[in-house]
Amino acid sequence: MSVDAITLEILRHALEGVADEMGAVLKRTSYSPNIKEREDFSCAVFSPGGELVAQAEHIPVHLGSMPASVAAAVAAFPDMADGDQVALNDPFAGGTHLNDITVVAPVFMEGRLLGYVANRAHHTDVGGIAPGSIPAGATDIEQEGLRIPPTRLDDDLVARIKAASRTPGEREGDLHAQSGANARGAVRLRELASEWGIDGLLDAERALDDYADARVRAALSELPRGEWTFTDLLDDDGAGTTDIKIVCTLRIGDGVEVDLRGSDPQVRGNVNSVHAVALSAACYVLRCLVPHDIPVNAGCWRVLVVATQDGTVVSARPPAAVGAGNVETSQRITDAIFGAFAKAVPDLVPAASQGTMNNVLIGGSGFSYYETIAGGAGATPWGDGASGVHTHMTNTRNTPIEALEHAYPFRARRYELRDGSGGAGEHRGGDGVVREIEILSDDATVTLITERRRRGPWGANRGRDGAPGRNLIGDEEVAPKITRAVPRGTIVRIETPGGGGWGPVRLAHGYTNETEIAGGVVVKRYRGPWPSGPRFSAETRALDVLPAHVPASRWPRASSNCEDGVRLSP
Amino acid sequence: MRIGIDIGGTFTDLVAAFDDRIVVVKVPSTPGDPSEAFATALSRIDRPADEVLHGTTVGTNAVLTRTGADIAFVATDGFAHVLHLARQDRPSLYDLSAQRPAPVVSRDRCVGIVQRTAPDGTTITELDEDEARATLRTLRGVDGVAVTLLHSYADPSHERRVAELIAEELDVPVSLSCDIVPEIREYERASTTALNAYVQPALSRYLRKIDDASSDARCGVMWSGGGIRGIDQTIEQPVHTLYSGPAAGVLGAVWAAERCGVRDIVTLDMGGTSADVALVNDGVPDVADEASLDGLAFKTPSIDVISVGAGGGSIAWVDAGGALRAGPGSAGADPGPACYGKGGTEPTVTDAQCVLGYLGPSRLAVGEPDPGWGLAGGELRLNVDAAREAMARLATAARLDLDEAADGVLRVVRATMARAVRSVSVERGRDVRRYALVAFGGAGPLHATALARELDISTVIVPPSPGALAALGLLVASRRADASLSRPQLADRSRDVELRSILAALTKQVLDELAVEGVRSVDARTSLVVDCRYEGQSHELRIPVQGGPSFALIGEAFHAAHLERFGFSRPDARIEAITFRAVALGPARDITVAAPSGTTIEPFDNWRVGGVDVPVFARSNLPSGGRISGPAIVTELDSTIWLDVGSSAEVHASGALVVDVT
Repeated sequence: MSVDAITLEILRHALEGVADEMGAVLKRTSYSPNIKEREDFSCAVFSPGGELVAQAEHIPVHLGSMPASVAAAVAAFPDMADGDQVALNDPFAGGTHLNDITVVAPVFMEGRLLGYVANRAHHTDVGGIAPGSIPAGATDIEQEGLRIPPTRLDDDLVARIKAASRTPGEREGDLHAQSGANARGAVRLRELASEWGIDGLLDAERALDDYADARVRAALSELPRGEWTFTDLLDDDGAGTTDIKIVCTLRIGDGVEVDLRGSDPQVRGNVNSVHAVALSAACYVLRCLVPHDIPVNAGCWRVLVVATQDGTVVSARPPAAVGAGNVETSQRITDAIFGAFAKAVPDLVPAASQGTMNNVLIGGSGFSYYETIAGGAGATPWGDGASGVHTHMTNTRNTPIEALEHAYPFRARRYELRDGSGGAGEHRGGDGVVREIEILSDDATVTLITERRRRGPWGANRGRDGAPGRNLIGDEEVAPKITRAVPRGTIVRIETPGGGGWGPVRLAHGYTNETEIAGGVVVKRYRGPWPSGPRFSAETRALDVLPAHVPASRWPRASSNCEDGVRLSP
Repeated sequence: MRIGIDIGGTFTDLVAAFDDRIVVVKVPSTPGDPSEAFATALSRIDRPADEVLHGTTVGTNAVLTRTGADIAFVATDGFAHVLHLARQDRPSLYDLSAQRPAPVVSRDRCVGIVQRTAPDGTTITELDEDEARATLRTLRGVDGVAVTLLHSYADPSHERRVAELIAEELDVPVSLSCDIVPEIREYERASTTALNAYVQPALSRYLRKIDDASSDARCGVMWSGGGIRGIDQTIEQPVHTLYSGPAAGVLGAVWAAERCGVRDIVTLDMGGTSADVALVNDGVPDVADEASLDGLAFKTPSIDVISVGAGGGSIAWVDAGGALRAGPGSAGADPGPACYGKGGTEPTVTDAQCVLGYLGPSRLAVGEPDPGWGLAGGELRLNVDAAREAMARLATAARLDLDEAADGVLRVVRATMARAVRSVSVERGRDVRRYALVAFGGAGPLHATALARELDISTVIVPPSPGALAALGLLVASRRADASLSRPQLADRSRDVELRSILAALTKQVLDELAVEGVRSVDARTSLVVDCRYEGQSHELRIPVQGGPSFALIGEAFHAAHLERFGFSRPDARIEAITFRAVALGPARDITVAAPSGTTIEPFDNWRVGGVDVPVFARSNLPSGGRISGPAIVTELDSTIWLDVGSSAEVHASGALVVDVT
């Protein structure tokens, strides 16, 4: 069936609407603030073949990695029937880190498989040796909490999860909401199939994939072809290893290949990430660089290949601890990929943002506090970076100071922007944040999992680096990742990194045709079309004003040469 | 005689309610100074009014365009950047060029002063007055100051003392967070207080003009929560008017539906740039405690209106992947759609309707006087050729013929609206299929029957004067006062004395406020709410206080509400009461609309719509009880109603058209 311009747009809304409604059900009925208020979840619809059809956009770190969960569920339960739901969180079998529990359900109509619906939500505690299930000193995934391979979601499983968690009431409520969200998605998907016919719906899904693919390729067709490599570093793993390399070799040709195989071997501490997290980072970067109104579906990533080497910090083997891989390493992989793109197209890529989530966990008798702190965003080719925001792979909200002081034995002493911490440049990086908490309880334990303490987020296009972050306990500046028991009256001060600057400091608006970026490599300045067209200017960027149609034949699928132990995806 | 005046982007609408009828006046808006159109509309009514009620967007526009006052912000030392940190989230996940909404105070005008209050209201650090005075003196020259000190809801004395210091040092208007919204969570409280100070000078100047223009009539202003308040009260707390405009329309829709015996409705107010949607259950619109405008949060009760970026002026285009799109770009009111003939060349939703013949015959020449045809009663002539030209370019790009492309634009815009209405209703736990759709605004009634089908809604109601429903809504609104106070504590029966004293104080506060509005306590209806949660949770459920103030009853109601909302409750867990609320409503107001007085159901013309001849009826000629089957068009002064194939409309005695679309 050929699908016309109108049906394409109508069914896009209809299918995205299914994912939206699943999200609305999950948000409304979920119990924990992390899901309800911070929207740390994602909902998606899949084809009968397990390909992504539509995804409601809530949190970037789930992008691109959910099809693996569906595949793992289907592999474990090939005979899933109407009404079945399968849950999993095992990072080594379709998951990302243990907190993220994904629930998958098949959708049938008239005996035919219409597809799958799935949602993933971050559960604040799934057991393990520390509250929050991201213990700083973990060296084995068993220390991080309950590991769930694909398992039928029934009362037994709910009971096991409740038994493992420090907050069983929340877990039950949230799992209930996740299952309800899938049920809603199944109903709506069946309604669409009755309206358009099963084959009509499936044809349209494929047409939407082609559509997304065509638009991504249209956007990418203006990029230069070639190979660029960028290396970024993690500060440490909290267990003795420092300066862990993440290497991205970017190849732009008929497709986009993000090759992370040069990255360091996996480490003892918990900054290891699984392949799914690396994939999410690459999907996120690609999504930022193409017009953001392109629907998120399998077609969107058809151009993309992400290569990792098993046993490295970006594709760890069990039983590696991976808790911080999702929250910290994901940010550094993102930086490395952006860094490679910055060499290719400096005029489209911002400087590095704070590159950390500044995880702060404080526990003591009767309380357990977890929060992430905002920082500076990298300056962009279009303007200054934002100050005091969450960047790239996360976007959760803060705990208000007044709520914090009611709930915990803390007194906040300072929560302000960190003036001057953003990197200088034609456009300035955003400022980081200073947060000071005085602990008013005996026997508290402080855990900090932070990054960009040893060196600041890089500037781009000759912009200066942002200021690195600092962690102080009392007057002592402490390591980026630390767990320490502290006495009453201790003041914990976190200064988060500023974003990198963009563009040379003194050459406002008059810079040359050749330009140099971080790393000292001189590359040809990108001379593509710039934001123009009156009605597009506010909504879209340069890439959206490119020629409408690119013949699909110009874009053979990128080859995926598989080597031993090297995983290529999708 | 009472008058309601609502100011929109294109037209300023006036509805005058006489004893036995209403009169509608439409004049062009004067965006430079909206009070000019206000006075012009008022001058068209030759009798003095007893009461003039007004919905205003002056404050809203000052925020949207960031043209409010030059103000300063005073916070507890160490927390001066609360407005800039906001909740630390970013506006767009993937748009790297997206800017965070700019706070209404620049960073260098945000200062901290030494003082500290604990969560329970005790003083940790006394206010350092000398230091505070020195800091305040650095702010000389500002037009106003907003003050938000940590935990001031628990003890406002430092804020009050700072207000005195500001009066002595700066002598400018002050907004205190303990007056505006004494509720926990510092960003939302600070943002509300700052917005209040920011819009206050412009709104007070404007409202004084309105008051003068209304001569001896008593003036009232619609607040976002759907209640009317006096000019002086509004000048004190102008932040309550940020959703003044949309609130009035919803109230008008509720009133019109109730007269048809319908109390569960979805309202669809579609104008030039957006479609506003609200849900009404059992005659009561959903009211949210918190809303945001252009990304800036504020905590004032606001009718929960969701704006969908689809209006008559939404621009249609073909994207790089070949899909036909509508919006978010809009031609707005100026230049407006191509068919308005004011220089617009982009194909809009209204142009699609024009090309297909929904708005009138193509033979109508530009400028030819013919009242009854064209938008807004002939004040705007349609340029059909311009619409066809614009739409032809779109059709070529989409590889469709002209009518297909135009029809496609309408279907796409409906898909956008349907998706938004569905997710909004699911998010609020409502099944939209059992609601009636009340369509108004200039463009709402044209889309309503087809949209209802898309949503599986079986009844559409088109109120009388759908283009001026917001002005009418002003006339049926009650006076209303809201008060709230955060006093976090365990909801334990040993604290019932404190519960009673908090609720009694809030009740007295709202009744006193209504007394200023001329409403006697005996005529006011009050209701009380306590926001509760299980200890350790971070979000609260609103629990209405029923059967006397007792934490035991509130606790039971909370467990039940929790069970209903989340599927389980924890009867053994401790409950915290966080925020206490009181609302007082004055007596309901009504107006009389003359019953439809037409005698025959005769079309006055046939229009060719999408290639089919469709009879056209003048709404003013229709008799009460008359029926019309689709396809048909009903025209009136300021709106056009499309009845699609299979729909059947009845002229209700109240003047509304009730359309069955099953």
